[in-house]
Amino acid sequence: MVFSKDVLGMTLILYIFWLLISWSLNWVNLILGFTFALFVAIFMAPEIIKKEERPPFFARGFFFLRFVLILIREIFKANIQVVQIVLSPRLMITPQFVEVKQVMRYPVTQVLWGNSITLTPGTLTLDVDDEKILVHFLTEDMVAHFPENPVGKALVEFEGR
Amino acid sequence: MREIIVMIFLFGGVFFFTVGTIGVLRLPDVFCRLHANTKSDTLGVGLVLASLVIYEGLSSAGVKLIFMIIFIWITNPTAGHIIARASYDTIVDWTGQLARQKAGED
Repeated sequence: MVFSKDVLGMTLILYIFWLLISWSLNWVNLILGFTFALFVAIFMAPEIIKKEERPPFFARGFFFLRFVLILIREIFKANIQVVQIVLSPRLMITPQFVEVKQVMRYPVTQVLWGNSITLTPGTLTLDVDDEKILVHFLTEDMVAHFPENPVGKALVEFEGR
Repeated sequence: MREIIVMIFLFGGVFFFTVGTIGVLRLPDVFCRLHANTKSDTLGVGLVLASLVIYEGLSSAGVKLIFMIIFIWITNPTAGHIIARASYDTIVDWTGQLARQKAGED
């Protein structure tokens, strides 16, 4: 089945991306873009993320948007913390490795969670699998505060639990 | 008025870039350095490109800049994660132990 729902959805996403990048409504552009979008989607069909590997993005779009906003807020907080640590005269750091439990169910949210850990204050992802995540903490009190990470809570809600 | 907002965003981005660079120079080992690098580079690029988006408006260049922000925000932590994992498996950290042995594996 070449024209499955996944392939057509990917074609639509690529076509919208093409329209935004080319930023013109010339008919050559429209037809050429659609052709290439369809070809790329068909060729990359085995690589497209399957339905069971991701939470429903459109049905739970509100929660995804909330996750993105919380993530941006946490990135600002993380940078303020980096400024405090780096610009203080004495380095107040106690680096350590800690294994934490993997709470995400789908591969897509596992990737998002791994990247979010790197961007939230004081933590850096080293290794991810289905059961656990290896995290490098910059300071001691980050370890205690890790379970109530608001980004993780937002992602769990996005998964629908 | 628009120029003032652009200036604030631009100088914010440059400031975070500077702090990230100082952090890379000051912090002791590769993992701590990556902390400074991934976080401040992500926000630095975000703020500099956001200032350009505000300056440019929602034109053809502005939309491309927004896509650049999105893709850099996805790829930057991923690159940091790859560097960190490779170092974890191979590099001796600042206490002179293999990082993997220190964490109690193997």
